[in-house]
Amino acid sequence: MTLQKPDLHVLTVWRLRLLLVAILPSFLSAYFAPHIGLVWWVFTAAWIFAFLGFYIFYYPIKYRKLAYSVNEKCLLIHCGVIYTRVKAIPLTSVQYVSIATTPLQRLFGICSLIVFTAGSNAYIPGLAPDKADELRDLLTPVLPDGGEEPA
Amino acid sequence: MRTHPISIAAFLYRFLFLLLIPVGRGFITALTGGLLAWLRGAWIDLIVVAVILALAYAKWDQFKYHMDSSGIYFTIGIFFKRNSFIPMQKISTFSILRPFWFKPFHLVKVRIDTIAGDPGKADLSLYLRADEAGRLMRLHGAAHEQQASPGISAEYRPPVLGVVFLSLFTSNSFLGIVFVATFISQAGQILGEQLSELLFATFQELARQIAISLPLLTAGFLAIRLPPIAAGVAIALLGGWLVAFLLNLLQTKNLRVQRKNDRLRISGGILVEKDYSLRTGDISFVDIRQSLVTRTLRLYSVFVNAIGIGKDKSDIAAIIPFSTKSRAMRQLGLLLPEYCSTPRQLRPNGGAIFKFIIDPLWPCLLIPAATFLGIWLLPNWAEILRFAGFMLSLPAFWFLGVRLMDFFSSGVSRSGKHYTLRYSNLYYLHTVVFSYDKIALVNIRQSILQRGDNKCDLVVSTRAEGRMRHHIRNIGWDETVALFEAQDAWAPADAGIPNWYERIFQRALAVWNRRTAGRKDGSKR
Repeated sequence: MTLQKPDLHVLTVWRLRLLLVAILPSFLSAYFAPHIGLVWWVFTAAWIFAFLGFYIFYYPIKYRKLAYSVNEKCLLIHCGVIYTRVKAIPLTSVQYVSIATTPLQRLFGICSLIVFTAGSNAYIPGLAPDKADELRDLLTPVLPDGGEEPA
Repeated sequence: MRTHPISIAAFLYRFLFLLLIPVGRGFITALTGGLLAWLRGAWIDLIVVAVILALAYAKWDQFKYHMDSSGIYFTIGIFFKRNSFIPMQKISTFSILRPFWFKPFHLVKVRIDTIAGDPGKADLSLYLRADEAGRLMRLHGAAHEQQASPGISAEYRPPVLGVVFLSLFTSNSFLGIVFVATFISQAGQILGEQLSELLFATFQELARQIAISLPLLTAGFLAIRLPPIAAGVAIALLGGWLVAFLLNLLQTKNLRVQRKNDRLRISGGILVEKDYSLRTGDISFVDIRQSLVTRTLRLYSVFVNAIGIGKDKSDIAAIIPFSTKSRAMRQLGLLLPEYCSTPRQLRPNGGAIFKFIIDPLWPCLLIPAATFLGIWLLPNWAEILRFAGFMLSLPAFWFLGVRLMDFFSSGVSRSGKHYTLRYSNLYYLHTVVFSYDKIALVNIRQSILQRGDNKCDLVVSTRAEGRMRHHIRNIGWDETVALFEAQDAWAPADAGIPNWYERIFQRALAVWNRRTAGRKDGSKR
């Protein structure tokens, strides 16, 4: 499989999730605004700064660096924001695979793939359901006799 | 078949939570009624105790097993029954543990482990008569004999000195102190408070005497007058270490390692006799472990990490306790020829030294600085501060030494299917050998600072029931990707058109590289 990018909708999902998270600090800032002190100004500035940082920089970089592929030996996940990472999971180590969706992901028609191995696991967000199914079938093939895959 | 009735005692603890009922009742009656009110309801407590005993008995009664050449079947549960079957070929480790207190009853504990299940405990534990456990072990051995292709056969009995050295270097003062403190406290409860008070008073007196006589004993070599509290700490650490050493020695004495075809059998121990039979294919990795002292003395200890070994603190994971390099490698070659280390192919560059020493460098600088500052601010506390500063600096400088050794020896190599990783983790230097199919995850990561010279850190998680990570610092990105066959048509530089913020960063990096190169050229001229 050549290098694949997740669905662009995942960026929207992350940003919406961030907006939901921002509700609490914005409420706190608004509620305490009439009796505002220096601490609340600092608090408000800090969360707005963090929010903008995530919205403008972090998530776009995260999306841009996120990619996956499967070669003849392993599943490769390219990711990382501060660190550039390549995660390689040997196909022989894959125990099972789960496809998970959240309400926000369902709204945009995407899902996440979680790969469980003995001793570790990996996560690919923002896959279209058919891509996720295809990847799952590739990682955990069903043999005709239902037996084990030869080592 | 049923297990030994002693299992009832083992099952009791699962129902001990029911004792919360009498405790709660006692608490409520203490607040509302009195002794008479509590006595009137004592029948509830008796019923609870009877229920606990009955449930433990029922659990034992319902727990049945049957083992034949195909595997082990077992049924467990009173209300929620569970029938399980572990196929013989899925059993990674079959262990028999014989604590000395079980010997009069001819009783043993059998542990059966597979790659699945809770990493913290065995998939199946049984209390059986020794002869029955022996029968199961033979059955297990025979089943694997049929499947295995005949080949390697070797045996190793390390000399007593090797086991003593192993215990010497792997003993932990803290564990010993915990053991002694628990022992004294329990002895006080059983034999009266006077005994524990007597022990503590003796300890105080000993600390005081040592504090007074240390400068005399060392003929002025240790000129500092040791405060009694520091002498007390030193005695506690030394005593704790001695106890831990003895416990370790009793756990690993009579060590014997046998290899027959695809099975490795490890046995030994005095207090608890242990006998493990494991499939060599299920060994996650072989770990050649060295401390700063043993590296300097060129001594090697070899450990195995496998499913079902190391779940209990008393488990024996060492196969070669202590030996010189040539002997250790020869024995390893005989016992596990698949897991022999190979010379480094990838190693950190010279400029990476700072990345290695940065962690211990801070405590090495800050502890002495804080000590001098403390002495300057509190001159009356000078002696105790000097001693505390010295004691705290020791592990920091030790750590620095380990990291320096790590810098000169760390790296990665590959020979066929097997990888050798050399790295350090806290105070130990590890040389780890494993096969490709034991890798759970390869994480190759590159920080912003490593982009300039295209280096990376490698973190390999090996397949085990728990998480085992091996971290190698600052090796070449491209070579690492190639070595672990993680290439595809993508590398960080080809990630696409850089965004404007990344373009700024890359331009700054290019300027920095140009300047560094210019400076290097200037110095050469």
